[in-house]
Amino acid sequence: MHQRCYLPLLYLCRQSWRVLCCQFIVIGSVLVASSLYAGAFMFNQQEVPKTKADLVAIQNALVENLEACRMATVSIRIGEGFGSGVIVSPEGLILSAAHVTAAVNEEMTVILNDGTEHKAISMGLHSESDAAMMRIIDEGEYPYVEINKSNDYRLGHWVFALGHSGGFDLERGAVVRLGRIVMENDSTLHTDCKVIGGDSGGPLFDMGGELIGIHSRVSASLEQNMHVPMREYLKHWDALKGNEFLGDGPFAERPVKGSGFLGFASTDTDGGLLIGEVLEDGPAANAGIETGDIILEFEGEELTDKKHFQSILKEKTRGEEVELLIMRNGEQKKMTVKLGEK
Amino acid sequence: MNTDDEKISTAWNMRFPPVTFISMLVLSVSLFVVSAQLSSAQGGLPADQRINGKRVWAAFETHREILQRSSAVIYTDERARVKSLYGTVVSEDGYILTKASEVEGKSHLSLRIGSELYTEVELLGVDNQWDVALLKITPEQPLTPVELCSGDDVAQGHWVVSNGSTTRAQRRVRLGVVSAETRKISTTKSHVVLGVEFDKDKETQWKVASVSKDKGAQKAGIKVGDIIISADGVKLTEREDLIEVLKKKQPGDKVVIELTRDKKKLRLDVELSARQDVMTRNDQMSGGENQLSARRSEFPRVIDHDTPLTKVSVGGPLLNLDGVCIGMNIARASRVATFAIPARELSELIKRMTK
Repeated sequence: MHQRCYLPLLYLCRQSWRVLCCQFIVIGSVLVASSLYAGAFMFNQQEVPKTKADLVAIQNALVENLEACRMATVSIRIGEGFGSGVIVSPEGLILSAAHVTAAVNEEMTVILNDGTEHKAISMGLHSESDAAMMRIIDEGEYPYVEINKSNDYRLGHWVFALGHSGGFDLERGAVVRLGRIVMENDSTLHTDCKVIGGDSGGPLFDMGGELIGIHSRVSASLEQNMHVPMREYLKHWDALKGNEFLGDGPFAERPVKGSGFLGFASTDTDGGLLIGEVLEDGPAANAGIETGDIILEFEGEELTDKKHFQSILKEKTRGEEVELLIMRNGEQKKMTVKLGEK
Repeated sequence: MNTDDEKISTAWNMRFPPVTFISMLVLSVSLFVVSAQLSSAQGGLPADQRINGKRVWAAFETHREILQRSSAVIYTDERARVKSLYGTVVSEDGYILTKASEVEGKSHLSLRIGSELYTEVELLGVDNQWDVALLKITPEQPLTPVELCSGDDVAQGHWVVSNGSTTRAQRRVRLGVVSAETRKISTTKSHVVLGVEFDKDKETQWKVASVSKDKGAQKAGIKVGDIIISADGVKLTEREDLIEVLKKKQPGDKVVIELTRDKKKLRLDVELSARQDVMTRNDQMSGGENQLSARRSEFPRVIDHDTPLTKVSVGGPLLNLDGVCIGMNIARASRVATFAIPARELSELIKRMTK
């Protein structure tokens, strides 16, 4: 926005003075207007702030955008672990880091700045750049931030980081840190905004309050904090929305085939598989499968015997949903089971 | 039953997560730490232009001058060579506040204000709640105390200026912003333990999930599955209830634990042991005990800012952009946080301690 200014090209040949004058006035006013517009972020044009006014300008930009950005910054709880994320749509779409969500289609809890908790589910992730997406399941209108899609952040620009450092703390809320972009390469932004465990997946903003990155990792130096730039998300947006697992690490491990598990014992029977003991609280039990049910079809295939069943299961991974056609008390029933982890 | 038994048994592992599962969680709480060499070799924004670079500090020269006059460099070595921490000048006649736990019990105490060295330093008193010590020197010329902010707390996102490093002649600034809500900092832990872990589930939070080897609980006969009802007669409902009871105790003290086992009530005397503090991964990422203040929690109210101080650069004033003192740095808490006593509480403390 502010950094973008299009200058009209000067075309002076064979024009009357009057036209020329008019053109100068037009060009002049455009120049003045654009410099005024950019003026709010003059500090990004300076190598370093020089005067108190420069410092006040940085402070004002930060304070002006901080509240809205804090409201959209969430803490993510996965079991005993904590990460952060940021809401980017009113329906509750969240961007975070791949090493936080760790897997596709997993349930987790999102905690808003005011302490309210919502169920959420992880969507796609890019395991090589550490980008990940998730969404809040509960319907509602959530506070969100805009993504900087113009990719106009540069080395030396002032930025701020938010996140729930070390986990959620209601009295403290999301923590802000100010800094500058100190290095940039294809898949990583480096800043001197200090981040720590629990900040992972949290947002990095430009001084206009638009999202430019997501916290990923740090070095031992306080001045090397690494963030996934927004372009990595935008590049893979549809795949992330489509729950795809992209790349081969190092930030998330692709679930291996054969890692999926249902949680029951079974024996061959006429026309299918007779279910014996069902593991309490296991994936099959949670989907409503009971001892005595007979599986007729698995993933649309008529089962011949147990080996057949296992050969299909071997191709599946944890977290995947499978379809079963079962027979119970003479009635057929379709069931969907989300595979657990072996 | 046939081969599927194996699957049933692996499934139980999900309830008691196997090692691979646990390590996954560790990653999700912590950022990846990558090697430092990788980054410094590639250049990027020159060091002097970074948020705590020399050329950025230059814009804060007036603040530096205030720190030159109104902060003290405190030494605890005999020859006054190695800075131990900073102090805040609060009166013309020589009262200086600093962090108590870093100066208490030291046999040598001297300090420097401006370029003047004072070797006669008296420790007049300590406030344990705030971990503040009151020092007194006898200056020949009146000192310039900090101008204490009388207004409200400074808002998040505002610049704050602290003492950075120093030479004998020159103080330097270090920069940050107020980064979180001004609030109370209390530990969620007591310094003594029973030697049990409770169930993680809120519903069954007083059910003993595991008993540590050779700790008081085991010796007293507490078993896994016991449900604790009270400690020293205090009925336990919230987690904090037990912490409150234990906070008043020392290692070796006993606490009377009432519990139910198989529907029977039991009373056991449990000897308490000292908590073996392990540095968390976040503490390690913050430089561990070399960087962090030993006392960094249990403060009634602090300003939380992101200035990268160390345990030897707290004690000095915290200034806003106008050069007004909005607090006094009291602890380096983590890689991302330094705590300061807010000006309001600081004024009360000064009044109380100098009475």
